[in-house]
Amino acid sequence: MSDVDFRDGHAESGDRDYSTEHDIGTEEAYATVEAAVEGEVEGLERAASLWGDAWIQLRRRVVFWIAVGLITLFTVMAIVPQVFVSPSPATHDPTDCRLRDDAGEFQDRLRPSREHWFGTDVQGCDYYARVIYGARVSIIIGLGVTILAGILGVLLGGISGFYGGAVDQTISRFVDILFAMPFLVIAILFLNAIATPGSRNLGHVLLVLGVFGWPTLSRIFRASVIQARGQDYVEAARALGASNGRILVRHVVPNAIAPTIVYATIAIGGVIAAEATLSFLGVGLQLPAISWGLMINTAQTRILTDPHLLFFPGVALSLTVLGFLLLGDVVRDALDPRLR
Amino acid sequence: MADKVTVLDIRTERPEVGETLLEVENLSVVFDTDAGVVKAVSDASLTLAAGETLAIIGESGSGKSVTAQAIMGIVPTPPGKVTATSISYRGQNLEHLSESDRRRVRGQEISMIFQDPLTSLNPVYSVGFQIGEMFRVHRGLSRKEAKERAIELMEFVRIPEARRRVGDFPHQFSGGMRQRVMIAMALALNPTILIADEPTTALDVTVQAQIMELLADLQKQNNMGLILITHDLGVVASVSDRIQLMYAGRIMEKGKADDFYASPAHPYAHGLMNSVPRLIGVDERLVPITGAPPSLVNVPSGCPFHPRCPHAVDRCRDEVAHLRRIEGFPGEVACHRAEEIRD
Amino acid sequence: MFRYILRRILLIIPTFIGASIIIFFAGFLLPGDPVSAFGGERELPENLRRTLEERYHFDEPVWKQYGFYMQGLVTDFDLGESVLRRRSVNSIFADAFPNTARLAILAVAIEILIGIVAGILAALRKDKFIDQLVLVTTTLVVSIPVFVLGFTAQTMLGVQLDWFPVAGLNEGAYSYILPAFVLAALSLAYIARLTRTSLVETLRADYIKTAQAKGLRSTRVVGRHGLRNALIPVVTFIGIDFAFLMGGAIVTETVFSIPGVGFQLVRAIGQRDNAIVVGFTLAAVIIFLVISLLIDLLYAALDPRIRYE
Repeated sequence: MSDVDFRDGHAESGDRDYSTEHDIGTEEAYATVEAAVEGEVEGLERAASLWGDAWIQLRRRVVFWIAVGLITLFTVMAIVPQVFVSPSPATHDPTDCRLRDDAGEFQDRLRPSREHWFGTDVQGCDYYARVIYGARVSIIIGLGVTILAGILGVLLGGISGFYGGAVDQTISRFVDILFAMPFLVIAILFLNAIATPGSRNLGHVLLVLGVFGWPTLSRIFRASVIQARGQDYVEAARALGASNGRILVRHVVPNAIAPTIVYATIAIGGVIAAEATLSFLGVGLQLPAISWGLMINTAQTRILTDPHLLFFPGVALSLTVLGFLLLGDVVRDALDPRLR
Repeated sequence: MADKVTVLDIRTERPEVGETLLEVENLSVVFDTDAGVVKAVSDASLTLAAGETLAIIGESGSGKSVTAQAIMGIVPTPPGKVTATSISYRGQNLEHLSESDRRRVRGQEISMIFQDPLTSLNPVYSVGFQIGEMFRVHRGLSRKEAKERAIELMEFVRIPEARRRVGDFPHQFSGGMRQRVMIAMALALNPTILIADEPTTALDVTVQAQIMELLADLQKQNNMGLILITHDLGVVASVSDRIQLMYAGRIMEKGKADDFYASPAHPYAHGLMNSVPRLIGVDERLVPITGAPPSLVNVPSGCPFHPRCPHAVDRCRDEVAHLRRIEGFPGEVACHRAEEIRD
Repeated sequence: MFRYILRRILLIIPTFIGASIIIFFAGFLLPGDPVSAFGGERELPENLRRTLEERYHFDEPVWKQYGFYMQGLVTDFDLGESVLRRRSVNSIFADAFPNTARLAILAVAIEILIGIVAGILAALRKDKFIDQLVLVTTTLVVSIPVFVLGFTAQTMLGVQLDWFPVAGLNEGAYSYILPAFVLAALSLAYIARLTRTSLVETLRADYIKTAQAKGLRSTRVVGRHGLRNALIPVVTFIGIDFAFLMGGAIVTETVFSIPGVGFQLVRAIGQRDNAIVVGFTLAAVIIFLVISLLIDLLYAALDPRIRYE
């Protein structure tokens, strides 16, 4: 809580005078070494205490546990969907679809009932089972794309921010280019370019979203690296003669990564929505893949008459996105109390 | 003397020298925060007369700035809560005024300048606009008239080339010039009281003296009451008439400045004096006060200074020490053992 | 100032060239042969095929095609020709763009009106009911993908309650309202949150204390001194959002069958009409770059601290 600022004076800033001077006597040299050694420890400790404090904050917040609950639920659903549909496997296999039952009654687009909790789709498949099995694609895409884009973004943003100069200019211009192009259109364009509709699979979608998804992450990480680079403890480590690589890994990254992690967490939700959107537009995954976006695409013409075809995958999709969004939000608040 | 101040708005009858302008009795300010209740100011009283300079001295978190904000009526409520027996200006209790009357006092009768002029000036408006705003809001002048008055005021506080610079933005000025802009703004409507909260802390040493000189000068010219808030004993030594020393939200010692500097009575005051390097004076060892200033959430019981006090006894822990007069000391001091220590 | 503008304009050129190369080559890689598509089911006579290939430079290597294309674009603002529809991409774009523009303008107006007001209310009543309400609502809105929101709005407000037209543009200006709300929803939520955060931060600034000490009314303190500063990042965000929206709203236009730029783009992709895909995408990039340039200049005008060098 920092509504009230009681700092009347600039009293205590005594510990920052050492590091940058060069023509110094023995005593000051010791001071520099000490400061640098402290800096070395400090770099990691700062990062550790940042997350430690954040964890103390997080534990107390209901929203955090809601987010964790949602993410756990959908992740378990993605790994072992069988657990959720086991009660009567016969009618709850997502690929066991029948337009008519043994008595010859039509089984498509049934409304939710005891037998079919979420009803059935246009093919007569059990909608509950399909919604459950749909989690897998979303979670794989969400995590996979964010990891891929995260690696690219941290790598390129880190190099850009740490080295500056021509490297920075080149990377930043490239980021500008990617940023100027409408993301969805570019994703559609490249998905069509690298695979024909019939052969398009999870790998293609993951690759395209990952390869074009890194610019924002890179911008955020670049900015934090530039900020961390100028800190006293980095200067101190540099004065001690630490190599660039060591400074980057031990001092800059641990202290600069927080905003990027927060954004990446929120981005997982965005990526999941993006895959669903592509599949909905018919340019993402293709049948027989099971994806919430694809389910809504298949049901598109029937939605106005059979709203449950939109409702269940829509809610599942939104709750998954919500889980990651809330997690990112609440972690950001914990890391930066000023934003509350 | 009056013709010297024609730049300033002549509206109120100016107070006579020595007239009591401000009387604050038993002021307490608390803030309700996540970490607990912060007791920023406890039971503080002060008075200020026209033409007089009162220095409120204390470390960070001693409550001196909050005291000033309480007088101005700009403590954020909530989370803040201000209580006082009275905060009266020229005999009128400010707490009984309506919000709009209170606003009329702010800026026109009592005005304030802050520590860091860069952050205290709005970055997106020109200095001319910000000074002129006083005339436009309180006097209904047109934009053009207000600008002319702003230029006059800038000249008045000795900003060179005022006419050329009136449209410049705060970031285009140096620290000292920015503080002059703040002062011009505060003096625009010729207030009777000026509260300066660490007016020189954010400035270079060479500029500090100029600003203090300017303040003292302006004060003399129009007979203002001046409250100087500072953590720096040196800054106020030559200009203040009276001092009040604050610690952990309480006033520890009050009295004439000369007496205070000659022989302080409170152990905390001793400690402060001994921890300040003097420029002249040979081979004196600096003795820092041991320990750290207390957290205002957990103010120590009794006399808040007792954990750091070399003279503390059990009574200091159990019983709050109130300001009182003691034998052989012209001021007032809040210390149970003041007499013994003086001996 | 002049040098800053010049520099900003010059920076656009490499960005545009880079984007155009990526888009053009991706378009080239797209499956589909425009010349055979021209004939539909029938096999084209050899001489006609040759004429078409020469006319559209399909017989040249891809980098030369790119050269011809850019030449046409720079000299005549020519986005190419759709062999399939036998029309210039420019004229198809000119038909589609006004629909997109109307939708975008209405959406941005909604964002500004509701988003900023909600953000201000939340900031001024921080931690009170209205603040919590804004936080919860915006979080929920952000987590619903646009096409789900669109279909839901269409089903509930269009079909079941019959308050709005379900799809298409048959009811004039009224047809745009529901799609515009759907299109605005996501950014509206961001704007509300950004405004709140920014205003809360600003109201803690030292110059707010100064403004209070000057004896200003609280409306003037918040309005003149608080909002003027707090809205700078919000204005920038809205500008960038507008720049993107003017390039076509793929999902919203598809859901509501609005024949705008995004709708035509999706259709063209389905029909393998690569000329439209490339042309429309490039047009969107140009629109984005120009509007974001203007936003940058506006930003510099709003914040005097920005240095122009």
